[in-house]
Amino acid sequence: MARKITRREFFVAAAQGGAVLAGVGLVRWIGKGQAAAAPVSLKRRGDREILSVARGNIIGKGVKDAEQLLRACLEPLGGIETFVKPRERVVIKPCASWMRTPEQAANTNPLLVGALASLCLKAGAAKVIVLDHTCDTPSDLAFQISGISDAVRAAGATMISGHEASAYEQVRIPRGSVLTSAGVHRAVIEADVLIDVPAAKVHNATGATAGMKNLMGIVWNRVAWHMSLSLDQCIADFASAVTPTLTIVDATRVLLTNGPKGPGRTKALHTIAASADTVAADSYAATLLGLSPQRLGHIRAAAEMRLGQADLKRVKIVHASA
Amino acid sequence: MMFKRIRAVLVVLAVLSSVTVGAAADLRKELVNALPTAAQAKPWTPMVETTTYGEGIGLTEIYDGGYKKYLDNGVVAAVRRVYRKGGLVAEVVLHRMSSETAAKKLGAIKKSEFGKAAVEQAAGVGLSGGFIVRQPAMAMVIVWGGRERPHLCSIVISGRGADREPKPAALAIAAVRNAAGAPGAAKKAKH
Repeated sequence: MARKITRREFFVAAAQGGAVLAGVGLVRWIGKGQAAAAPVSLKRRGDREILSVARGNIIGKGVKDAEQLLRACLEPLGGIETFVKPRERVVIKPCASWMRTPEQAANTNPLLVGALASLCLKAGAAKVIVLDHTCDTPSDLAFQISGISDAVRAAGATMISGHEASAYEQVRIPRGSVLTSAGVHRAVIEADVLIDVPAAKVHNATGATAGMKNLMGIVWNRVAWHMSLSLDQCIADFASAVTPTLTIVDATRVLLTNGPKGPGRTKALHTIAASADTVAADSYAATLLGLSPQRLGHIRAAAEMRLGQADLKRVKIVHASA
Repeated sequence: MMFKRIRAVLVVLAVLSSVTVGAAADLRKELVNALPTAAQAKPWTPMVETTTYGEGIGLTEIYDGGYKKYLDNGVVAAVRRVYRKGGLVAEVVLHRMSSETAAKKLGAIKKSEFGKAAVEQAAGVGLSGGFIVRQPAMAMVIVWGGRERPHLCSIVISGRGADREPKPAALAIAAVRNAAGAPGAAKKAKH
C-alpha cells in the first residue's frame, strides 16, 4: 500500500519542483528577451571539408612573420580572398578577454590578430573591426596588456569593446534547444564576414575552448548561459545561428592548466589551424591540447546538430609550413 | 487553511531572503575593506573603479567560465581589484573561504597548476601558507591565512619585467592580514 506523504515532504517536493520550473523558465525568458531580430546573415564561403594546419615560430617575432604564417595556412583554402571580398565589412573576434600578457597564452597572439586585420584590409575590406566583450575589466586595460589593441591599431583596423549594452540586438536561434535567442553585438549583425580567431586552451567549464566557445565574446548576457541547463548546448545552439565565415585557431602557445584565464602551464606549439568549419577547427584544437573532441560536450552537441565535422578522420587535413 | 499555510511559507521565504541579502552585503563590505589601501599598496596605485565582487554564480564576474573550480573548492565570495605601477598591473583577488582547510586545499590546487615550475615560498605574519611563481612577464602569488575568517588571496602581476618584481607578495599579505583583522591591519580602509 502506498505511503501517505507528510506535509513537510509535500512542501519540500513542491519547492523543489517550483525551483526547477522557475530555473528553466528564467533561462528561456532571458534567452527570449524582447522582440527577436532577423537572423545574422554572415557569408558562408570556402571548402568546409579542408582544415589547413601551418607551423612556424612567430613568438617574439614581428607582424610580417605572423602574416607569412597566416598566408601559408590560408593558401590551401584559397587565401584570404576566398573569405573577404572588396568593400565588405569584416569582424575579427580574437580572445582579448583577459588582462594577461601574450606569454601567458590566455588571449590570442597579438601578432596573429594584427596580421589578420592587415590581410583583410589588403583584400579590400571596407572596414575591419576587432571586437571582444572582455571578461576582465576595464576592457581597454585587457586590450593593452594582451598587446592586441596596439597590433590592431598598427594594422589600421578598429578595436571595440563589447561593454555597451545598447550595442546589442536580440538574434533568434531557430535551431536552439536550450538557447532560443541571444543579444549579439551589432557589429556582427551588420558584418558580411566574421573571422573567429580563438586561442586554443583548456577551460574549467567546458574542458577546452576554441572557436565556438570564443563566440561568447560577441554576446551580451553570458551569465544566462552559465545558469542554463547546459552551457555546452548553449554554445552549440549559438553556433547554429552565428556561424563564423572562417575560424583560425591560435595554438602558437597554448594554456594547459587553469584555463580560461590562467596563469598556468603553457607550451609553445608554433601552430595555427584554419577552416571554414568551426567544429572541425575546434576538434583539431582539442587534439592539440591532448583531448579527445568526442569527450567535449559542446563539440559533441555541435556534431549532433550537424553543424560541422567532429570526426577528424573525415576531414581533409592539409599541412603547410611558413 | 491552505491559504494560511502558503502565506506562512512565503513569510518564511521572505525573512530568509532578507537575511541572506543582508549577510551578502556585509560580506561584500568586509572583503572590499580588506583590500590593500592606497597607503598599504605603495608604490602601487589602486584602480578603485575595477573593484568587482562576486559570490556563488556571481563568481563568473571574476572568473567567467572558470568560476566553478573556485565555487567547488570552498570559495564563498571574492573581490577583485587592479593595481598599477608604471607598465605593470597587479590583479588582486581576495577570496573568503569556507574553512582554513579549504583555503589550504585550493592553494595546493593552484600550486599543482604549475607542474614542476620553480616555486618560491611566500611567508609573512598572519599567513598559514603561500607560494610565488615567476614566469616570463608574470609573477603570481597565492597566500592564505585566518583561522576564524579564512581567506585566500591571489595576485597576478603582468607586464614586461613582472617576473623580476622584488616584493610580489606584499599586496597579498596586506589583504590577508586586513581580512583577518590582524594587528596593524587597516580597520577602516579608505579606498
